Amino acid sequence: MESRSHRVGLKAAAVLVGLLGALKIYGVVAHQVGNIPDGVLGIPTNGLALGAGLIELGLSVLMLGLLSPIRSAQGLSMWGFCLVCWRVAHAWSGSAVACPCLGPARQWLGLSAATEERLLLSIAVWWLLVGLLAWAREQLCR
Amino acid sequence: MGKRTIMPMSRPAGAGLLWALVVPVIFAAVALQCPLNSALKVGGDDGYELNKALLVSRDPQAAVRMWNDQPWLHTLLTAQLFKWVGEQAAVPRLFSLVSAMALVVAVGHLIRKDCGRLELMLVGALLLSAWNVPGLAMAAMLELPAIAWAVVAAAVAYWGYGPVRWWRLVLCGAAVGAASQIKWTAMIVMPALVVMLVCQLGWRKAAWALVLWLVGFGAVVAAIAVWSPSFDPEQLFLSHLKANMALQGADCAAARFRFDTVLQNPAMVVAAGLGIWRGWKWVSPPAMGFGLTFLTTAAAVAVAQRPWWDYYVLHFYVPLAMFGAVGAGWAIRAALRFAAEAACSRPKADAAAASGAVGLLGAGHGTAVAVLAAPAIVALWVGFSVLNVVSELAMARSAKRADQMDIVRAMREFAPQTRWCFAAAHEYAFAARVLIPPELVVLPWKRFLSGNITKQDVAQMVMRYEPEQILLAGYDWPKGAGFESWLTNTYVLTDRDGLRELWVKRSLNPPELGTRTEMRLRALGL
Repeated sequence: MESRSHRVGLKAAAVLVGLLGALKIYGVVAHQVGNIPDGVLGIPTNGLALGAGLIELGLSVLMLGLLSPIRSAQGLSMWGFCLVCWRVAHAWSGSAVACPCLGPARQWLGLSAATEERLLLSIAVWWLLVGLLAWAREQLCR
Repeated sequence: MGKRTIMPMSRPAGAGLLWALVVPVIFAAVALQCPLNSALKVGGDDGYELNKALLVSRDPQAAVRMWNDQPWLHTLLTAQLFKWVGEQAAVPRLFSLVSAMALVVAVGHLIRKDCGRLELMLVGALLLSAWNVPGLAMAAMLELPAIAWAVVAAAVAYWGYGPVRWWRLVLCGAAVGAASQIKWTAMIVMPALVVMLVCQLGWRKAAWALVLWLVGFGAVVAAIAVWSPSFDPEQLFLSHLKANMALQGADCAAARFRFDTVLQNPAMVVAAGLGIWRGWKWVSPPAMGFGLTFLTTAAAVAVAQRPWWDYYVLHFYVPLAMFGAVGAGWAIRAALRFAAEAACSRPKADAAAASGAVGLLGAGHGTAVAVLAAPAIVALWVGFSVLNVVSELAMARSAKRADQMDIVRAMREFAPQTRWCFAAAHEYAFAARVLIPPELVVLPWKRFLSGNITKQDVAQMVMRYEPEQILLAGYDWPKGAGFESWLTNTYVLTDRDGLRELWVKRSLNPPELGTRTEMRLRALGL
């Protein structure tokens, strides 16, 4: 049984992740079919960004449909996953746009670029493991 | 403090077998994958130890004159092994690897009575992947073996509760004595060891235990001191003190403790925090006391010691790996239990939810922390520690091979006629198997800093020895005292590799630099 605030928070996180995914897809499509320049809205416009956007959108839907006590954690980790997609897409496209969330934190903490990369990899693995835990628990529940 | 509760934990009955299988596999993998014998240099002070052992092995009389600010045991053992198996760089490097394995087993032993097999595996995973450890485990350096055998000594003295076993105390003292004669930094284990003994035995018995301990310690230190070519307090103690005092007032960031060296291992730090928080309830007081005291001592040393080299971070790793294994083990077990217990069929969870005693995830707060922390620890380990192992192993694998370097080949060419060689880049001297004059074998920055030697002294000593080979390394020493003119008059520049220049005595009829280059081009058919 979960509190109402948990549910609202989770839904907000899911919507945010979904929006970020949709924005990525929009950026790629708009760049391909229209006259919108590369990196519109600070979003890289390549295949990876498209893939990342699709995954985020899918996960957002999945997140809204899940009924698990672990959902809050999963929501948080979705956000982490979004950061990873962002960073990987940037590395792929060579875009100079900094990660909007980790970039400022990196500067504030004085972290090196290598540490930022390692942190992002850790976030990705964390998301994967939390997702696995949630999946295992859901399977047992059914 | 609340009432201590003992967590039911299956005793790791097969732990010995586990170690017997895992440790040799890791050992063999590293030994076979990395060029431990042919690498020119692995780690900062690798060359010092190799050259010291070479000198002791070939000319024990000259070793008496060697300036050596470290105890002699490691050098003496390596020199002896050089006589038995040949002058192989792999000998001390493999010893470091063995020591790293011993450290893992010893730290595992300290928590063995309170934890399961998972925790023992975690000790190895956290410790061996920690920043700097793979490099230190492959280098002919003293820090890791000294700390490793000191912790092994503590493990010998740890038996939980029960009657005093006098032979363990004597053996522990002997082992700490031996470790301290590898490097004095091994003595960092002492406060933790005393606390552990007090927790095990109580004050009165611990005092007697320390007397037995001192018997073993004193006997071994005395025996090694007698065996050593010299035992000069000025070199062994005062040189460190002088360097410390010289650096205390100096604004030298390179010589200070940097907290980010510990944060290079976020998985270990997070897990250790959890370990101290949760382990308080079930880790036995002797082990807990040992770990906390070790951590405090390491912090105190970091604050006081100058210069504080990056490899001293190893002092933190011992307690952090210990608590880290406890914390990570708890979190992983709790997370797996959480995943295995489906929420929909758990009456307890519903009851807790109804009473309002629920945490972030609808479970208890402890479980919620574990469910978030276990993946975080694994993720940080993958993101930082695994990448760290990969990069340190890659660095070792790509180290310059002595056999493939032209300048080393040139040095070897003149080695049969060489009595002495001054090498500013000392690792080259060992690679060519030539001896450095004993006073100049160990020439660290600290020695200049403490005023023990000056650049002019080095120049004068080199001129006095008139070594057959001189390898300059682009440093601004030796210099002064007419060194430059003496060098060009008495020696021939015969080879160059970047900033390194090999000068050979004219009496050996060495070819000029141009001639040698021509010979090489001709050999290549150019």
